[in-house]
Amino acid sequence: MLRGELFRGGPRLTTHLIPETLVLVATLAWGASGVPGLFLPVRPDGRDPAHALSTALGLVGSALAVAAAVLSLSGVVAGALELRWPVPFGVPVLSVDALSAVFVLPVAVVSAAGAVYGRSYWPSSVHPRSGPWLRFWYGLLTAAMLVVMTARHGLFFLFAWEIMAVAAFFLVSTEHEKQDVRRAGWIYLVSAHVGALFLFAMVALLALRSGSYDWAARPTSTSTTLDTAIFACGLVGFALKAGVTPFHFWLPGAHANSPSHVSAMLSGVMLKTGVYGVLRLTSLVPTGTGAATVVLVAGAFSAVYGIAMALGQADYKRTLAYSSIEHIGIIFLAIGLALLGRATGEAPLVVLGLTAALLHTWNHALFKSLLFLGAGAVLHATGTRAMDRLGGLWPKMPRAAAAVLVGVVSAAGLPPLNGFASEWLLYLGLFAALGSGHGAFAGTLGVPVLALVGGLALATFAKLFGTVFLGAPRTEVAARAHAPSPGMTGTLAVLAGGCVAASVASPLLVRTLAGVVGTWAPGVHADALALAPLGWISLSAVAVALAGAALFAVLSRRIAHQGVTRQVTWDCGFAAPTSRMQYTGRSFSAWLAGRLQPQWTRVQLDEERAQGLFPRSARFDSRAEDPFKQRWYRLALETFAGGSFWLRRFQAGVMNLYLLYLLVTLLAMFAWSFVRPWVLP
Amino acid sequence: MSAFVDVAVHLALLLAMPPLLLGVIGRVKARFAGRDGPPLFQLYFDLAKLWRKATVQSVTTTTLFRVGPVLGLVTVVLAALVVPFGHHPAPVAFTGDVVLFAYLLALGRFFTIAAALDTGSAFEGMGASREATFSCLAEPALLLGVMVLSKLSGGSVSLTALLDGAAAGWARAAGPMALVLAAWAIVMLVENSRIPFDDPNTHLELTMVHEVMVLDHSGPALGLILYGSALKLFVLGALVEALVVPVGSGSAAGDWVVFVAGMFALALAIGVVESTMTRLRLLRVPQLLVGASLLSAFGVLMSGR
Repeated sequence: MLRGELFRGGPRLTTHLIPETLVLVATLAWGASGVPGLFLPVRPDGRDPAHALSTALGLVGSALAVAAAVLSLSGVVAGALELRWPVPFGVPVLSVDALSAVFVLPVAVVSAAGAVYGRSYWPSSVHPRSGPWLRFWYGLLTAAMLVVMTARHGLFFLFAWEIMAVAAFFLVSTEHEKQDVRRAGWIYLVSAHVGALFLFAMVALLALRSGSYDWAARPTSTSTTLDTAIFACGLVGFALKAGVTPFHFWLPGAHANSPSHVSAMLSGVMLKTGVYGVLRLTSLVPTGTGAATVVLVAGAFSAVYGIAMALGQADYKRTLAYSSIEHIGIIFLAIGLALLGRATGEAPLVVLGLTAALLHTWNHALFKSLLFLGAGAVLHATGTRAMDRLGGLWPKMPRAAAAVLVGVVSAAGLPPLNGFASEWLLYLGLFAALGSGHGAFAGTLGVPVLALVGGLALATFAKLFGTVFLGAPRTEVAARAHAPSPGMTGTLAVLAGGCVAASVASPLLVRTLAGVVGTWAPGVHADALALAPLGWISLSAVAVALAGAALFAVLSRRIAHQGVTRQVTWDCGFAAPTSRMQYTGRSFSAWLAGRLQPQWTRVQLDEERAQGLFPRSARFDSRAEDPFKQRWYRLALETFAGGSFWLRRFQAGVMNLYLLYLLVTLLAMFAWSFVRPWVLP
Repeated sequence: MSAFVDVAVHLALLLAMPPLLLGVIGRVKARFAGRDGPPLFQLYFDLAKLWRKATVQSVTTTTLFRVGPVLGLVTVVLAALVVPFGHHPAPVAFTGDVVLFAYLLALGRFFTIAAALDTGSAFEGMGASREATFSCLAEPALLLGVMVLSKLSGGSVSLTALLDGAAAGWARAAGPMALVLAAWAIVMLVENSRIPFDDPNTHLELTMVHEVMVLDHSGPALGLILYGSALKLFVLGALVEALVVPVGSGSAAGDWVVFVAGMFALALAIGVVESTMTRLRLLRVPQLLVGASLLSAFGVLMSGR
């Protein structure tokens, strides 16, 4: 690798450092984007030049980052940009190799989309106080994520990681006047810092392994215990950030309670830093089949758990958050498959698993941000996050609804869109594992899990889209909803177009990802497209679209020709249907989310039925509680707290007792210094 | 040349034969009930009639309401292009086409459910909810069966190759193949809303699943729906038929004749099942579906190495 220098004797840039320089400038642009807003006041007429400036800086930063990623993926060799600041513990190094570029791309695209969306969604005229701070933390979050993806020095990585975690905390707590938001923010902060502790341990052990904090250095000691410890710490830390079950408990609250463009960033991009971390860690440290099994099983469990819980939610943003858990589970399942292939030496598993994981990362970033921005449009129009108060929003916002439909079909993993392309790759990898010797259990576990997840996802997203956009408005807020502004609709349309393009161009994307496989698993030479003919899938996508459009045109002409009259819904001849008679989202999923699930994940019902001939009242409530958060973590923490209660008697509050403790400790240390030469040789 | 003839016969059978199958089923059920029954070609007449009729559409519905029938038909036709009929290779065959097959049917189902929810009616919502529940539980059974076939045919993931290997599969491991056959027969019945999962004849909303989802459709759109569901029965029936008749007759034309005869026999069998069994209690249906998945899973375990 080439080494370049910066800030000493002036920059000397060769062509091989252009991606790194672009990322550095992009980081600075995003980091600075929110700063003017803290100083320039909002004008009395509501116009905010700082807002326009921050959006412009952000778009510039994203464009540069996209350029860097494209350059790197199209073959520019990764350099190492050293930032010679006088910091202890070595020189921070930035490098954009193919793996970093894959993850930099979604950061840049989603942050730009969110910034443009935020102009209409969180304008300074409506939010003069929280707006500038939100943009400051948003810019800082994006800058920190760009550094996380490209840092090659352990402490530099941790520094950026902490900034990212703290910035996300402030973003989640934007509306801190609400109690739910404060609670979600605290739980997120605690989990982020527990994860960071594990990452501190991982970085320290990595430094122990190779003698310095620089990740490009060769390892000096190769002990499998050390490698296992590094992998374990890193996996827990990154799983906490990515939201893999059982470390997902912070995710639904944080994603549901933050402003929608922030939710899009958190769900579409910040979760991927956990995925990136696992991939970077496994490229530095060799792993065996045990590690692969853990990742595989965690991914499979996470996928099923996430979508099963998503089905029972009554809040559409929480549904989307749980669906993110499902998709991260699918990505981890793919990574586990690739790790298994690497450990057993089966090239098809590595290629298909890793390509599926990376392609699903891109696809998930696209459609999940589209869905959260669409949810923002609905929230902006109606003011409520409860699905069962909405309905019939399609006529009020047809273009936004069509864009959200694209996102919903992608998220359910259905052809012809991009969610299906990456799941199809994973299916092929799992079938290949089925036929191989050592990896058979991966296929046996993975295929039915993916099939079940696909069915549940279809039900969840049909419920989500049908309850919010279709049918008749269930309450006044839905009936009075207004269309979103052109800026918001435009962003949704661009992201929906991105989903369609990603689906049709999926063979091209897979070809671009081939370079990453070479970086991550050197020595594996297999062509993903030869193993998995994605060209047929994009052809089928085009075929569905064209045939569907043609038949739709024929049907519409025929209907117009034969005549059409409009009436109320037939409703079996009732002729006076009200909107309260429709199925609600909860009733749609009642069977799947209730009786057909194990007791501990079931939706809890709380009802008082009408009794007798002249019933006074009846009541119905359903709660979808997360069993990990409400039961197991709470039980574990309460047990721990209760078990440590006896320590309180040492805190008597008497100064003399504390002086006695100091004296006893000093005497013990004196004694130890005398006794030590005899005890330790 | 013969490939072109194969594709042409495939498409002709796909597009022309399915309503005849439904006619056979109707006739069998009528005979069991002691009646003469409707003509065999009744569904063709019905489709022609519906194509000529005017439409009554609900004011609550949006553009999505017409997309449901359209995609329901388009997805089934495209899915049928990867299914081999009668030991002739399917018009389209590539690695992984079986997954595309399953998910194209799921796409059709999604838009049918969406069109049902579009009407804002309690009945359609009920049917949509039941359809989503049943299909979610039936999906794993289909793919687990594919896993068994894949193991028995040397790791291929293309329907043409999988069903070609069925003969060898029966010879080597008849147990798992029988389990797969049972599971796929159950999946075929549930996906097409036949007895014992749904009664296509009752039109009583509280007992229906699929029929209730299409209550508000009328005219040409209803015709597309009826035609699409006939095609879906044909395509899933072809899968079951390929398992039941694993060996070819040797000549290309003979294979087609055997296939057509097999499909008529399947329609007869479905008619007999519908006449002799009643619809299961609704709460029992998920148990039977999970049972089908378990059967397939046992097949996977039994076909170990």
